[in-house]
Amino acid sequence: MFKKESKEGLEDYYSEEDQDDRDLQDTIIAQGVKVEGDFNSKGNVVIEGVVLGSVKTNNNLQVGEKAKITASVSAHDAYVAGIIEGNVKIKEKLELSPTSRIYGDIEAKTLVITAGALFNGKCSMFDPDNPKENKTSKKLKKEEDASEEN
Amino acid sequence: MPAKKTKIPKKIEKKSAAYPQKKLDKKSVSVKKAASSIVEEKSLVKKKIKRKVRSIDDLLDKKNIKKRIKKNIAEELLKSKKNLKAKIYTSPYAYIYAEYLRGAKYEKQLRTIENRLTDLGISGRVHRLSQFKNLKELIEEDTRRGINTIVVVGGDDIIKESIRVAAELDVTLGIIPLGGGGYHIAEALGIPEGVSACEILSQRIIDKIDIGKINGKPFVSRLYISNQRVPLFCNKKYEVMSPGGDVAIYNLNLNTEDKTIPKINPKDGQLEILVKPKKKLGIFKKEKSQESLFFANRIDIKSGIAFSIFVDGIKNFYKEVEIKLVLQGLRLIVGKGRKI
Repeated sequence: MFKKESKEGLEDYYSEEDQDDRDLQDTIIAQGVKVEGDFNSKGNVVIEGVVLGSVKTNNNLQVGEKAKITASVSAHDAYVAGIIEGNVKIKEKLELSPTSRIYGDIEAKTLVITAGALFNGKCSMFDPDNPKENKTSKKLKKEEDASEEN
Repeated sequence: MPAKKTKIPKKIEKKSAAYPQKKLDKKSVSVKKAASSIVEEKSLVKKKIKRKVRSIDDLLDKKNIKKRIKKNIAEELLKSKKNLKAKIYTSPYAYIYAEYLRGAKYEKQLRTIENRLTDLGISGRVHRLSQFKNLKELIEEDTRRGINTIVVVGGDDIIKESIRVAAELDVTLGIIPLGGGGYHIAEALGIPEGVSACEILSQRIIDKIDIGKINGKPFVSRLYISNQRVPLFCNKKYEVMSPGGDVAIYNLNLNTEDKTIPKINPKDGQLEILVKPKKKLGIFKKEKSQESLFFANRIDIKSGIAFSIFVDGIKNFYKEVEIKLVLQGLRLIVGKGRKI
């Protein structure tokens, strides 16, 4: 009985450690590689190639200079130096480098746009003082958009 | 039955008719008596025969019963013998020696290993592989006899084969590296060469690792596609198109010395896909292009033209491939210094 308990304990210990290691490893889409479809990841993602489809990660996202994403993107933090054709939804900080080009709407808590960056679209940011207003403002905007379309 | 008693045989009747009654009274009485006595005797005989028949039937029945009992006893004895046969191996360990360990070269080392194992109380039945002995059949036979731990003594080649068999048969696998070429697997599992591996077996730290399956056949370390442009359909969600370089799908990295390979974890429930860039020929273009790394637990590859994949170093040709991962599909006895 004692032996069994000790082994189980060991397994648990290793599994936790392994999970940490797994989280540390980055998913890399290198230059020349093309990915099509919905790409989901739990760890950090580095994109240098071409992605046709949505990109989702719970961790950091780095979009390289020669990278091109043609779909929506969502991540915790993001650093963009390439081209994104689609909406970008970031939980915390979004940083746009001088070589970056974004054709779509941005949603982020913190936004850094360096000189030279190109951004065509709408931007909505989280207001810590009035969190309710943000939601209402979005709803209003949507209603306005709908009325304009009609 | 009473009708039979009154009947007088025909011969006697004819005789009685032939002689006048008055003259032959005494004689006829005696004949009648004789006839009746004969009839009685016959009936008695018949009764006796019937009794005998009954008794024979009874005897036969008894014999049958006895036979049945005997049969039952024999069956039970056979069963018990079989059980006894299965329990011949009291030790849960069985040892399989590689073919190249035959001969005087390794005899001394094998003896010392066997002595050490008996000292540690983990000795067991020993099989020596030969041309006519199949590893899979040996392991199957042992599992039927209640053995749950197979220890392979040899190099990487026999260990790889035994891992494949163990993954299919659900057996705990131990390793004693000795003899043959490389010990990459043993090194990765933290098992030293020769007698010192016995200590690790006695400690019995069991690690469960994932096993990959390509079209249903298990593989241990990696699949390698070299210089072929093949689309990889990962997790049924996204497709990765390689630039035409090498693609390696790892479950367990046996070449731990190679630092270009990222850390491969065989217990994370994911296969690591490493896509290498296409090699460019030229003296002046020396741009270092990065390798891609993905994680997936299911990969499908389809191609109109047949393509080659090295499965654990053995080249195979496919047109359609389904690669899956079996979570914790293999139980291995590992050392404390393991690298996985």
